[in-house]
Amino acid sequence: MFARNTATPDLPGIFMANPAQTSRPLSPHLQIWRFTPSMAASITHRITGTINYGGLVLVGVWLAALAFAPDLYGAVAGFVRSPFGFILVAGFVWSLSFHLMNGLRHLYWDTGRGLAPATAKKTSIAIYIGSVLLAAIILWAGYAAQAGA
Amino acid sequence: MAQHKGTSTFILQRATAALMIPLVLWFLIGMVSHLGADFEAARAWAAHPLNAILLALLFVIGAIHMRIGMAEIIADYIHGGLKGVLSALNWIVALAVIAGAAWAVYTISFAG
Repeated sequence: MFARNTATPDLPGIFMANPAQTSRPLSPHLQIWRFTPSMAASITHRITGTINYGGLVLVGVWLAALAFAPDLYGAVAGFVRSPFGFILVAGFVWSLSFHLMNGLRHLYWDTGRGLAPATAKKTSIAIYIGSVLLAAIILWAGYAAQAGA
Repeated sequence: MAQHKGTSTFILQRATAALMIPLVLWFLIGMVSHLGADFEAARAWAAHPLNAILLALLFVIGAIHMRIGMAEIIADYIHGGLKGVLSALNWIVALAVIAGAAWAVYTISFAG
């Protein structure tokens, strides 16, 4: 992606050195950005991605318990039904909803559209609102299905 | 992103992202309605062939996608010796998720 360029000296704080002493770009760190909905959505995308990473591992534990350890499964299901368990599930559902909707926007951005700052600001706000709505609908539908079963 | 492999990693991240859209929507409804279910009901749901296949796909594609995303975060924020340790750990977690989920889905479907 970046051509090898031995003529460019490494600039501490702007570029990071690699063993060949070529200059490669370093992503600007969190605290240098002025607050905008777009930057908030970008950071939230990374945070929710990290939550989803942990969440998939935990759902993997749930699945493993279901397959190999009925006793452990009972404890896991009991925890999920507890108030704290509900908060954890609701948080994970919102996190997946946000990452899914913002991910859709990323795929749209990859086509070169929707990148104007004003547009990105509007879609960022829409995704915050939309992800809460999507999570609420999924939680409601899921728990209604469970109550009816 | 990894040197010399940036483009293929970029494409793989987008391809797995697109595949995750329907899988996550299916998973969210299915998971929320079965996470707290009793053992028999949860087993019956996970043993249904369609659910078993989608569960396996979710874990395999999800693990690939999350490994790439976490590698990007590690590359941006972690430097020095810890970077290699976390990168290795990231691979191990992704492979463990795939292996564990595949084994669990197989057991529930055929060996339960």
